[in-house]
Amino acid sequence: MKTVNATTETLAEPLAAIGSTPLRDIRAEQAARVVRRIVDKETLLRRLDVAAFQSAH
Amino acid sequence: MPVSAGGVPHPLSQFVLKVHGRCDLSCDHCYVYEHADQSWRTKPRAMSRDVLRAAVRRIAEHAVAHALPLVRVIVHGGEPLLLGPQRMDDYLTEIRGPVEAVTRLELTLQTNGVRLRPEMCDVLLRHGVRVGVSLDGDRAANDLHRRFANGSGSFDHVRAALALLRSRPYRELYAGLLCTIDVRNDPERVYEALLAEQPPRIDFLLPHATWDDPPLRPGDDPTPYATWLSTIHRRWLADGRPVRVRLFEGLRSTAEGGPSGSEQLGADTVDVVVIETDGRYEQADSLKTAYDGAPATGLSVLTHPVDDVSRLDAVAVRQTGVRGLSAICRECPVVRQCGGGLYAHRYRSGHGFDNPSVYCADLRALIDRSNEETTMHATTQSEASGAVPTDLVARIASGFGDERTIGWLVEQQRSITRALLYATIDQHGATPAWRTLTDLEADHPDSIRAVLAHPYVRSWAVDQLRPGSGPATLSYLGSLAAAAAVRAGTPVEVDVEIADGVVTLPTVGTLHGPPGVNGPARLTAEQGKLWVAGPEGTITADLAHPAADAAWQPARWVPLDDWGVRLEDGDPARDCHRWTPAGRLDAAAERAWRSALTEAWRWIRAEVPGYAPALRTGLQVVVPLRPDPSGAQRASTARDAFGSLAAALTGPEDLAVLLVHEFQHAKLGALLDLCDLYDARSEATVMVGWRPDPRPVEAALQGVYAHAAVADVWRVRDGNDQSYAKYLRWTTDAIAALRGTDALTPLGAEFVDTMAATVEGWES
Repeated sequence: MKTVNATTETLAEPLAAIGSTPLRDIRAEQAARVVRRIVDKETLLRRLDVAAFQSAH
Repeated sequence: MPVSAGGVPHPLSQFVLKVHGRCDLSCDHCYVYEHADQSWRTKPRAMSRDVLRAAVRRIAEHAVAHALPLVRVIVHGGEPLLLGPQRMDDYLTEIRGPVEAVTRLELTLQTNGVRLRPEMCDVLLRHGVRVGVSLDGDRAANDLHRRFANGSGSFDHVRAALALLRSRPYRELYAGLLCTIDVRNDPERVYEALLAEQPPRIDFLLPHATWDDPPLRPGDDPTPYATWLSTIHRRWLADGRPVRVRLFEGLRSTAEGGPSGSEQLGADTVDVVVIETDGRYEQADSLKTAYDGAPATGLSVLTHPVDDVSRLDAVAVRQTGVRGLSAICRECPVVRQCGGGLYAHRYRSGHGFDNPSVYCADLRALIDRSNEETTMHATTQSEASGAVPTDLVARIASGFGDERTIGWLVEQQRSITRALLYATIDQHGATPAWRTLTDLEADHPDSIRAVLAHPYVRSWAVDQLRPGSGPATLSYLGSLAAAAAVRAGTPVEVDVEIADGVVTLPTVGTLHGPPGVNGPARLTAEQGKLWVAGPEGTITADLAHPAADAAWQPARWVPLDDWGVRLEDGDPARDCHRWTPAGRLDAAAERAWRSALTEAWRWIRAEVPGYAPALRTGLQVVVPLRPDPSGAQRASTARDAFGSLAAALTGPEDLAVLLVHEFQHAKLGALLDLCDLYDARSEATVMVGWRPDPRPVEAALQGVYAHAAVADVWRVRDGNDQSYAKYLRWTTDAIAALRGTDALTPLGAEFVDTMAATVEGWES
């Protein structure tokens, strides 16, 4: 199957790592990213429309 | 003092409100207190309510005058949490009222985190504020600069705040981490420390410097900041981009000709204005590093509208992109990516800001390296490492999906479930059953894989992780561990929960004890036998002779050609389908379901075989629902239970339609898990034929996708039937309505176009 490279606009890249890792060795930050998408419904859209004020958001 | 260009005012949409002018830390790298501009000494400690009201009024007026669809207010300081919870509550109320009356408002707060407590979090949660926290890395890195006045480090305080932000009640507050770089810190250790806090986003900030006061450059490396950031960039790529990093995303976006989304990069329009505690407008805070008074505008919310700020030359020049940069920058081959760097970093006495950045060499090296590294990473990616099938959207949008496409989606769903399971433990703590489960995985990975494929593992985990969904009930882990052990043929002893007499072992079977019994129990499985010791005695089951044991109901497998589905009537987690599930099926009900499913599958194979591969690959479980008293059909797909659908028993012809219809929802839901087909922030709604009320975009997408399939069934079943005409009209009208919104992403537009092409193909 032909593939295109995952971008930050899909969840596929972290999922690939999770799928091949034993449960106890899953990285918390990878799991947290899935939680934000699946539970918190975080958008994957990159919002780079304006030069955002330099703070952590 | 800046002068006014006197021209047409520009819209400004980001407002940094300095609600408090002091800080409880004394960081030696802080631009507010430690750099050239010392105006903080003459400003009020906190913004008064009158100033706040004036500021908010100006913001709202500006939003109306420019018809701004969105205003971002960044609650800032000093340290904004010094306001305290009560005053913060009052201030946020003051901000929201006038602004939300005229436009959409995004509220964020940037803090050092030291004073973040549940009481403050409750206030922020109530007002929908997202919180960014400053953290410079591990203890050594953070406490190099971020210290209290007495010299002690803030690391432990910040980590306590971050633990609070990761907790289930407050997770939605957590916006990200802001890390100021110090090249003396080990970049990999900084990266790992930041990652350990599980932030949604990280932003790296170059330490503020100018040509007059250049940045620290220890050693012989001419571009230490590029070296430092490149080290993290390579690690981030190798790790599969586990977190969003604004600087790196900006580099990638600008490499593709897009915007940077950052003040540090690119030539995007900068539309930020700061409102100080005394009401004076200022330019971006970072200018405080240039010279005393650099950010000042001479204007105030008490006397001037925002438009007057936007007319200032110093603000206007930052609206002109590359044209506003120095001659050296304009001739640079990477100017579109660099954009001259942060405005403040260009300052040199006697030349003002008409210079390249003092970080010019670092930015050039960073851009070249990151472009190269990103390209290398992209070319070496394979499907196994996260590449997406090129035709994924087209195949799903066509209405069908072959085995390989759906199989790929199934694998993504399994990974999602694993991640959520892990996150549940990360959130609530490991239990003995979790340890049993993970120990079993080491020796029997296939058994674990089979059990975790059960659709309701995900829905259970989501319940444990969703804010406000009640106390965690981790006993389900015991059921999963027991099921895996039984599948593996290995003895196990775990804690489980009896719910109305039932203990389920997902994918294996269900133990039915006396109804009405609830509570914790100890399950033992060994040599084909089960013992469940609960509050009212022990129930036993002989798994090897299920027919002789009324208490034990093995999983019911309904073979359908070369595949099959399970009838799920035991797992309490199946109760997530809006309708009440039917209880344990008796022999007659089981026979009726087996017959209906077998016949329905024949109908599907005969009438609409294009939908068969997806069903065969993705559908695992059918949950019988209680029938509607009026006889109306009932069917449902749960977004968090891919691979299952629920239905009340009906005739095979109708059941065939329901299976096709419901599994369309499942396919689209699985796709929506992975990518955005619409802008979730859009408030667009569309009218659809199947509902009298306006529907949000996702609901309309789901509806039209499922109804298109139903139209297809009726088209084949009876091309001139009224049902076909009705579903076709609903479908075509909803496609037109969706195209009429501006809510679809490019991927979403592609999806709708492909769906439309399928439908148009029927008519030709």
